[in-house]
Amino acid sequence: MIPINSPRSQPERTPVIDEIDGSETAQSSGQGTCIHCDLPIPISRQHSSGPEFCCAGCEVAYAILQDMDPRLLEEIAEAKTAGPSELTYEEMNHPRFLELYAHQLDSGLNRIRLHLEGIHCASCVFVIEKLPEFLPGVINARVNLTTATLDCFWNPDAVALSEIARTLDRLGYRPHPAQPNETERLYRLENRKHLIRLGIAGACAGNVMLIAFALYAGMFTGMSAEHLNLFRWTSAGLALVSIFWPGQIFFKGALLALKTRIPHIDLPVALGITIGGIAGLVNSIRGSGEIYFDSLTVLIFLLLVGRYIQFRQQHHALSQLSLLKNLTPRHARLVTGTEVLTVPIEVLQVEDEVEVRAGDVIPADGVILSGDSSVDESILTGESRPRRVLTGGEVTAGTLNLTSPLRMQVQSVGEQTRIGRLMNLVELGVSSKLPLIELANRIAGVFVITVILLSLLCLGLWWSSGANVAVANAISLLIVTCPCALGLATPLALAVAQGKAAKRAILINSGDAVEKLARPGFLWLDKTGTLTTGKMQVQVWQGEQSQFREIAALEQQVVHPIASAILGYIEQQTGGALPDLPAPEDVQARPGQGINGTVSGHQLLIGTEALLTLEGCRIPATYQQSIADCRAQGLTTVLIAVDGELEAVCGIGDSLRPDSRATLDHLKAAGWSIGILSGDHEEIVNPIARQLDIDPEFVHAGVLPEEKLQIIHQSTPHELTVMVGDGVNDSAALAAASVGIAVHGGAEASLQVADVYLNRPGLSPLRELIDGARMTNQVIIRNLLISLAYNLLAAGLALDGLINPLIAAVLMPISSLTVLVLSFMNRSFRETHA
Amino acid sequence: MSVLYIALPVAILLALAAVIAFVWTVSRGQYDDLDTPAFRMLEDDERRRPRHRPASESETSLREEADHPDDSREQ
Repeated sequence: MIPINSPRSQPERTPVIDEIDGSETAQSSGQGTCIHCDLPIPISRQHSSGPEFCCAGCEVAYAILQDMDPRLLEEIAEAKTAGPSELTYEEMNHPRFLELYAHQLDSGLNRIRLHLEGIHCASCVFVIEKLPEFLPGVINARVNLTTATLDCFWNPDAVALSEIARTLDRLGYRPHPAQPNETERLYRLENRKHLIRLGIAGACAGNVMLIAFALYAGMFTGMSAEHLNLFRWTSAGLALVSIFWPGQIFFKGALLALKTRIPHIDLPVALGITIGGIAGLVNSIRGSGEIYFDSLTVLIFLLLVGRYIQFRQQHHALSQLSLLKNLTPRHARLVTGTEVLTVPIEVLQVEDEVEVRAGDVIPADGVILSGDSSVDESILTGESRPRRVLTGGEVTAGTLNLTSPLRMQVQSVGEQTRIGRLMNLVELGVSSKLPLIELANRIAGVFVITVILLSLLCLGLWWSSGANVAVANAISLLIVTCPCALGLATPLALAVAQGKAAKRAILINSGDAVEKLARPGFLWLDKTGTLTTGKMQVQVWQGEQSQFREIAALEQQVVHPIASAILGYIEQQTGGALPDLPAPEDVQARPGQGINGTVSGHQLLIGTEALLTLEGCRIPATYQQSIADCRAQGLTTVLIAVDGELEAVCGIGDSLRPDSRATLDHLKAAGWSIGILSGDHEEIVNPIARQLDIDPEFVHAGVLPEEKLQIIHQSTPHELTVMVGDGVNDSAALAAASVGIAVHGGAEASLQVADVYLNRPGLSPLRELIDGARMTNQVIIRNLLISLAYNLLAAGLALDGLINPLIAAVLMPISSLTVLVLSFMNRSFRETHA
Repeated sequence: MSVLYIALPVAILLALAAVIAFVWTVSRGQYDDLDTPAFRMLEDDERRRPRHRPASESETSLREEADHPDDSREQ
C-alpha cells in the first residue's frame, strides 16, 4: 500500500498559531495577496483557481460583499468537503474526550472551548461566529481573537462535536481542545485587580485635584474658615481612600524591602505617603498649614500607571496551549481484535496495539510489531534526514511516519513519553528563569537611601526655624524628588520599544529581554530552520533533464522530503505545474533507500548509491566526482537511473538562508560570540559552520534536546546566553537561556517558551532586534540620568528651603513628562538602519 | 448654609457612581478581550437565527449567558 501523494496529503508539520498572521505565511516573492484583505496567501491555499484568499473567512466575506446569493455560506461550507484534511475528528465523540474537555450545562447543552489554528483577521471572526447559521445544533459560537479560542455551545442531540470540528476544519481552522489554563486565569484576575486599583486611584486623584484648585484659589482671594475646613476634610477623606486601597501595594512592597533588607523603590514612596499623610491630617485638624493630599493622590496614581505598563509587558502575549497536547496527535487508531477504532489519545494505555498510517503523527512511544517505514524525527532531534524503522524498532510520540503503515505496541503514553518528559523540562525552564534586576531598581536602592538621608538632613537643618518649617521643607524634598520618573523610565521606554518592534514583526514577550540583549553575550543558534530554510531542496543536479516528466510521475507516488525536493526542483525547472503525468506501474518504495517503477515503458530507479549498486547499475567515472562533491558539502546524494543506465546525480540538502551570513557577521562585529547547537549530523552541520565562519570549538552537532539544555545551563550562570531556534527540540534550551528567540515558521512549542518571536522569514530580524535593544537601553539610561539630574537639582533647592510643597507638587509631574517625551522619541526599531 | 454643602457631596457621589460602574465592568470581564469586539462591529446588527427552526427559550437564555464571559463567578 503506497500513499498517493496528492498536494493535499502532504503531512503537516506542527502548526504555528500566532495571533498576527495565520498558521503559515507566504514567502514574499512572487506570490499573490488575498483579494479581500491583502494579506499574503498561505501556501496551503494556493491551489484554488479564480480569485485567491488568505482564509475561508475572507472568501465568504468577499462573496457576501459581492452580493451573491445569501445561501452561499452553506454552499461554500459544502464545497469545502474536499478540504485540506482527512481528519474525521471521530475521537471527539468518545465519552472520555467529552468528559475531559466539554462540560454539560443545566439546559442539556454542551459547551467546549477550542483552540483554532489560523484565525487572523476580522473575516475569520465573522465566518466562525456564523457557525450557528449553517450548522443546525450549534447554538452559539464566540471567538476570542487574542487567544485564538472559540467558545462553542451545541446541542448534543442535534449535532455531534466531530461534525462541528470537521466544519471548522473545512473552513480552514483546525480545532484543538483547549486546556483550562491556570496561568491565563490568574493573569486575567491580576489584570482586573490592577485596573480596579488604577480606576480608584485615578478617581481620587482627579477629585482631590479639583478641590485643590478651589483651595489654591482661596489662598489668593481669601476663604472662610468653614469652607476651608470642608474642602480639607473632603480631600483628606478621598486621599485616605486612595492611600489605604490602591496605595496598599506600596506599603506591602516597603515592608518586603525592610524584611529582605534590599532597598526598593517602594520604600521612599511609602515613607513619603506616610509622612505626607500624617502631616496633612495634623494640619487638617489644626486648621492651618499645608495639606499634601493632592500631591499624594497624584503620586499614587502615576506610580500605578507605571506599574500597570510594566505588568502588561511581562505577560506572555501568546496564549498557552498545553505544549504536549499540541505536539502529539489528538487521536489514535487502536487495534482491538479484528477492527481498528479511532479513539482519543487519552484512552491509550501501555501494551495497547496501535496502527499508524503513512503521513500520521505517532501517538505514543512504542515498539514496532510489523511494518517497514521511514520516520521523520526532526521535531525531536533536528535531524533533517528521515530514519528507517523496521519490526522491533522503537518510535517516539510526536514523530511523523512517512512512507508506509506501521503496527506498534504502546510502551509509554502522555507525560511518560520522551517528548512528554522534554516538555516538562521546558515548563520547568520557563518557571525557573531568573528575572533581570533592572538597572532602574539597582539605582533605586541608592536613590532611596540618599533621599531618606537628605530629608532627615533637611529636617535637622531647618529645625532651628521651627518644626513647621522643617517638616514642610522635608516633605517638599520628598515630593519633589518623587521617584515617578525613575519608576516610569524603564517601563515606558520598553513599552514603546515593544510597540515599535511589533510593527516590524518582532514580537517581544517579556520586557526584560530587551534589557538583556543590550550587551553582547553568547549566541547559540539552531541550524535546521534557523540558519537554513528547513526545507530539503535540490542544490546540485548533474546529468540528463529529458526524463523530468517520468521522474516526477514516479516521485509523486511517495510522501517523503526527498521526493518533495525533487518534485519541487522539476516544477521549478519546467516552469510550474506538471499536467497529466503518465501513470507509473509496478511502483516499489524502498524505505530509506529509494523507489523504482515503470513509467511510459522506461524502468526508473531512483535512490542511494548503495541501492543502484545493488541493482547492478554501473556508476561512470564522470559522476563519481560529483557524488564526492555532494558528500563534501553534506548533501544527500540521490542517483537516478533509467533502464539500468545512470542518467543524473542530484545533491539534496537544506540550504542556508540568504541573510544568515550578513546577520552573523554584523553580530560578530558587535561583539557577540556565536555557536551552533544542532541535532543534525556532523557532516551536514560542519559545512554550514564553515560557510558561516563559526569557530569549530562552538559547533555542536548531533546533540539531543536534553544535551542542548545542558550546554545552555553550563554557560548561563557565567554570561548572558541567547538561544535562537525554531523547533520542539530547541524548546527546552529556549526556555533555559537568558533570552530565547524563536524564528519565523517554528513549532508552537518554541514560540510559547521564547521571549521573542521573529515573525518575518530569515535571520535579519535578529540583527534588528539586537540593534533595537541596544538603542532602547540607551534611551533607558538617558531617562535615568535626566531624572537623577533633575532630582539632584530639586533636592538642592529644597534643602535651601526655596521650594514650598505647592511648587514641589507642580515640579513633580514635569520630571515625569520629560521622561515620557524622551521615551516616545526612542529611535530604535525604525524602518531603515543607519 | 452654603450651597457647597450640597454640591460637594453630590459631586463625590457622582464620582463614586462612576467608580462603582467601572469596578463592575472590570469584574464582569469586559476588559479581558479588547481586540475581538472591534471586529464584531462588522457583523450584522441582529443575530439571525438558524433558518431551520425557531429559537427555543433555553436557547435564547443561553445566548444571553454566552454573551457574558462566565468567569464573573471566579471572583
